[in-house]
Amino acid sequence: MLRNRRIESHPILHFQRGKEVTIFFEGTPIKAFEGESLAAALYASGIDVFRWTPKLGRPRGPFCMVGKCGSCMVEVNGVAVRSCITPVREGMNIRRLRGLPTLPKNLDRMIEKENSDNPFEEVKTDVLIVGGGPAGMAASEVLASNGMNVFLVDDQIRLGGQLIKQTHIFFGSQELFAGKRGFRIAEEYEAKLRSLKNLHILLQTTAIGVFKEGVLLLNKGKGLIIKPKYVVLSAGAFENYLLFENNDLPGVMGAGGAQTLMNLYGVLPGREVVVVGSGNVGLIITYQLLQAGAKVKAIVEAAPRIGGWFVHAAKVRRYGVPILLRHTVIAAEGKDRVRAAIISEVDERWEPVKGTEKRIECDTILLAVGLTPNTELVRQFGVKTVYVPELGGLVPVRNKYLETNIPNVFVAGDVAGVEEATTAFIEGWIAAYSILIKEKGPQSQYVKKRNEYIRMLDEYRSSPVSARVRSGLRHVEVGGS
Amino acid sequence: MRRAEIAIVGGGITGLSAAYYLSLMGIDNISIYEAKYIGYGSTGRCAAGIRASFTSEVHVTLMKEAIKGWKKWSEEIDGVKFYQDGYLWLLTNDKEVRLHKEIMSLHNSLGVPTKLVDREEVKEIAPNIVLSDVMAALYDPTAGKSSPFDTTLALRRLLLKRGVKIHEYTKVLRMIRAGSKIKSITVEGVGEQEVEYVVIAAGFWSRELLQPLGYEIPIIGDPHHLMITEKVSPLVKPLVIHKASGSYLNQLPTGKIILGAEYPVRENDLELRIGFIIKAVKMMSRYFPSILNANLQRIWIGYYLKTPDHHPLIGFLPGLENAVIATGFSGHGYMMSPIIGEEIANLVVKGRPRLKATEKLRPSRFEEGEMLEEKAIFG
Ligand SMILES: Cc1cc2nc3c(=O)[nH]c(=O)nc-3n(C[C@H](O)[C@H](O)[C@H](O)COP(=O)(O)OP(=O)(O)OC[C@H]3O[C@@H](n4cnc5c(N)ncnc54)[C@H](O)[C@@H]3O)c2cc1C
Ligand code: FES
Repeated sequence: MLRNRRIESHPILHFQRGKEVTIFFEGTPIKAFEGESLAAALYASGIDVFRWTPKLGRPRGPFCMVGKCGSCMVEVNGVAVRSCITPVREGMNIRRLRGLPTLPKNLDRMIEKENSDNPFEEVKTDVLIVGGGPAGMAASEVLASNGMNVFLVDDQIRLGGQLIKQTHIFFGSQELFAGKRGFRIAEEYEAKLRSLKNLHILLQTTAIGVFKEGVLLLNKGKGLIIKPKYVVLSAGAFENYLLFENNDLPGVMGAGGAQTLMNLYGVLPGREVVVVGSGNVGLIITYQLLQAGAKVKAIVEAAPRIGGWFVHAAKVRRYGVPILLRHTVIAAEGKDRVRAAIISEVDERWEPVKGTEKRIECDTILLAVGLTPNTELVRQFGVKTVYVPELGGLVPVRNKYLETNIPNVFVAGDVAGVEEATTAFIEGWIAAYSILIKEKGPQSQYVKKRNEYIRMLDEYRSSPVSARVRSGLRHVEVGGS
Repeated sequence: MRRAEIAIVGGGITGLSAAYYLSLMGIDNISIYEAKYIGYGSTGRCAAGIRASFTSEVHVTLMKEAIKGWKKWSEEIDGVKFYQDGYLWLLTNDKEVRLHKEIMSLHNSLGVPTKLVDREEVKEIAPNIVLSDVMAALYDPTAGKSSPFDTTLALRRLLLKRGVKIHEYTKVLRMIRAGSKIKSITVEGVGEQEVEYVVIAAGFWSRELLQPLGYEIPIIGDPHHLMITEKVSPLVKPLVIHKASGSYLNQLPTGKIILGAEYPVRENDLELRIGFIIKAVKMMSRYFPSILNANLQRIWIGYYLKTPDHHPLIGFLPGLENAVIATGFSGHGYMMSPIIGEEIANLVVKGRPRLKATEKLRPSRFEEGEMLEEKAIFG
C-alpha cells in the first residue's frame, strides 16, 4: 500500500530535505524528514485516509494544508493533532483518528503558574502585525527599520504566507521583485527581516482574539497578551469550497493545499488530476503539476471564458491540457480516495445540464475556485466590513492609507480584498508609512515614499485584468485622512 | 390597511415559543418581528442548561411544567431534542454542604428529586472527574440540556410551515397607544401595522421599547461570558457547577464543551475579557484537567436580565388590555420557554394564565410590593 509520492527531480525546484527519521503509522515504520509537516510525510508515503468522521464514518484526508479545516487530524501518541501543522519528530506513533478526539490526560499544554491570577505574559509594543505573508513582511520591514518596536505573528511553521509556494517568476519593476520566483522573494525578504533588531517574529503563533486586556496570542498552548499602539491586519485569505457529491473524499483538495504539498515539501498531490477553476490559481497550479510530473486531465470552468491571464492559459494549452468552459464537477467517485470526477455542462445560471455528464478517471480533484478574505480578527476589532464580490466577500472599509474606521487599525494584502502578492507588498508599505506619519508627524521622506507607493499601486491596478478589483475598491475606499 | 395581527416583538426563544402555542390554539394571524436574526439575543448566547432545582416555589412549579414541555417538544417538533443528563453541583466546604442539605429537602418537598451525593457517588456519575477538594455534590437527575441553535431553527421551520410570518432584520421602532390599547406598531422598512395584540418578548431591548410609553420596567442587563471548545469525545454527562465560584462546564451532545463563570462587568460594557477565560479554565480544570488540552473555538458575551426579585415578568402591562410582556428571565429564559410560551398564549387567547405561579409574576407586583424570593440563581 505504501507508495512513494516524493518528487525526486524537478526542473526548477531543489528540495533540501532534513535529516531522515522514522515514524510509525498504525505500527508500520515510515520514512520522513525533519522539517516536514506530518501530513506531508504521511501523504508522501501513500496514505490517503487520515481520519474517519464521527457521525457518518466517512474517510478524510488533507484539504487545506495550513491548519484551517481539520480534515487531516490524526492521533500522535494518543493526542489528536492537525497533522499539516505538526512537524515530524523521530519515533512518533501515529494512528488514524476514529470519531471524536479524546482529550489526553497527560498535560502537555498545562497552564503554568497555576496559582497566579494571570498565567499570560503581557507585553506592550508599538505595532502588532498579524500575518507574515507579503503584506505583513513589507509593513514589518519599513516599521522596524524606522525605529518602531514591532511584533510580527504568523500561525504557520514558516514565514512568507502564500509566497513560499509560488514557483513562478514575477514580472513588473525591479522594486517589485521582477524576474524572481515567489519563494526566493520570501527567502530574501525573510533574511532582511531577521537582521532587524526591533522586530520580533513569532511563528506558529495564532492571534486568537481581541479583548479588553489586549490581543491574545497563543503559541503551542502558551499565551501572550499584547498591547499594541498600532495594528496591521494582514492575515490573507482562505480557499473557497465547492458543493458536489463526495466532495469530502480524500483526493479532493484545495489548490493552495496542493501547492503546499508540492512546492514546499516536494510531494506530488496526485498522478492524474482534474483542476476546477481557470483563474490564475487554477492555471498556475496546472502548470506546476505538469512540471512536477503529474498529468492534468482537464481544467473545468463554469464561466463561458477563462478567468486568469492569457499568458498562463496559453502555457497550459501548449501542453495539451483541455480547458472545458461552461463545465463543472458534480460528483467525485471512489471509496477511500477519488477514482474519477463526474463533470457536466452548465447553463447560463450555472446549473448542471442533465444528460451531459462525463466521467473522467483521476485520483485528485483540485479546487481553485477563489479565496475569501480572512476577516475574523478584522471584525473583532470592530472594523466595518461590506460585502464586495469582486474582492472576495466581506472586506474592511478603509481609506487610501489603509486605515480603517477604528483609529490605528490598518489592513493590507488579501485580507483587504483578494488580489496578489505584488499589491500586497505595496499595501504593506503604504500602511507602514501611514503609521510612521501618524506616529512621528508628516516628515517629508515618509510622505514622499507613501505617495510613491500609492502611485505605484494605482499604476499596477490600471491594467485591464484589474478591472474587477478597481470596481470593487469603489465600494470600500472612503475619504483621505 | 393590512389585517390587524398578533405581533410578537422579538425572535428569541420566548417569542418563538409564544408563536408556537398561539398557533396551536388556532390563531392564524401571527407575525414575529426580529431586529436581527432568530436567536440573536440572549437565546443564541445561552449555555443550553435546563433544570427544575430552584429554591422558590414559583420557579420550581414553572420549571416542572417546562420540563414536561421539553419532553413533549422532543417528541413533537422535528429537530428539538432534550437530553436528560442531569446537573451536578460540586460542594467544597462544610457550609455549602449544610446549606445544600436544606436546599435538597426543599427541592424534595416541592417534588424535585435532587440528592446529596458523596465523593464516591460523584465519581460514579462523572467517572472522568478529578475529585480534588470536592466534599459532596447535589445531583439533579431530572435536569438536562438542549441545543438553542437546534431548537430555534426547528421552531422557525415549523412556524413558517404553520403560516406564522417571521420578519428578520425588521425592528419594531415604536408602539402607538390609544386609550387602554396598543393600536399599532411602527415597523422599520414597513411602516405602521395595526395590531390586535402585541407580545413584548424583546429581551434586553424591551426596556427601550417601553420607555416612550412611560413604562420603566425594572430589569438590568448583566453581561455574562461563555466559551466553547472544539468537539471531543464524551468527557462528562451532567452539567457540572463549581458552586463556590459560579463556574460551570456543560458538554453538549455534539462533543463541544461550554465553559462559564461568574465574571462581573458593567451593563453597557460588552468587551470580551481574557480574565474570564482564565477564571473559567482555572476553576473547571481543577476537576477536569484534560480540558487544558482542548482547543478553544469561540467566546462570546450576552445578557442575563435581572429583576429586583430574580423572577421574570410575565403578564399584561398595567393599564393595557392587549399588551403582554415576558422577559427578565435572568439566566433561565431558555429552559423556561415551553411553559412561558404556553402562558403567553393563554394570556392572549383566554385573558389569564393556566398556573397560579404565573399570576405571581405579573409585572405590577413591584408596585404592589409583592416580591418573590430565590436563592439559587446561576447557570
Ligand atoms: C451566558 C449566558 C448563559 C445562559 N445560560 C442559560 C441556560 O443554561 N439555561 C437557560 O435556560 N437560560 C440561560 N441563559 C438565559 C437565556 O439565554 C435567556 O433568559 C433567554 O434566552 C431569553 O430569551 P428571550 O427570547 O426572552 O430574549 P432574547 O433571546 O434576548 O430575544 C429577544 C429578541 O428580541 C429582538 N428585539 C429586541 N428589540 C426588538 C425590536 N424593537 N424589534 C424587533 N426585535 C427586537 C432581539 O434582537 C432578540 O433577538 C443564559 C444567558 C446568558 C447570557
Ligand atoms: S487542517 Fe490540515 S489539511 Fe486542513
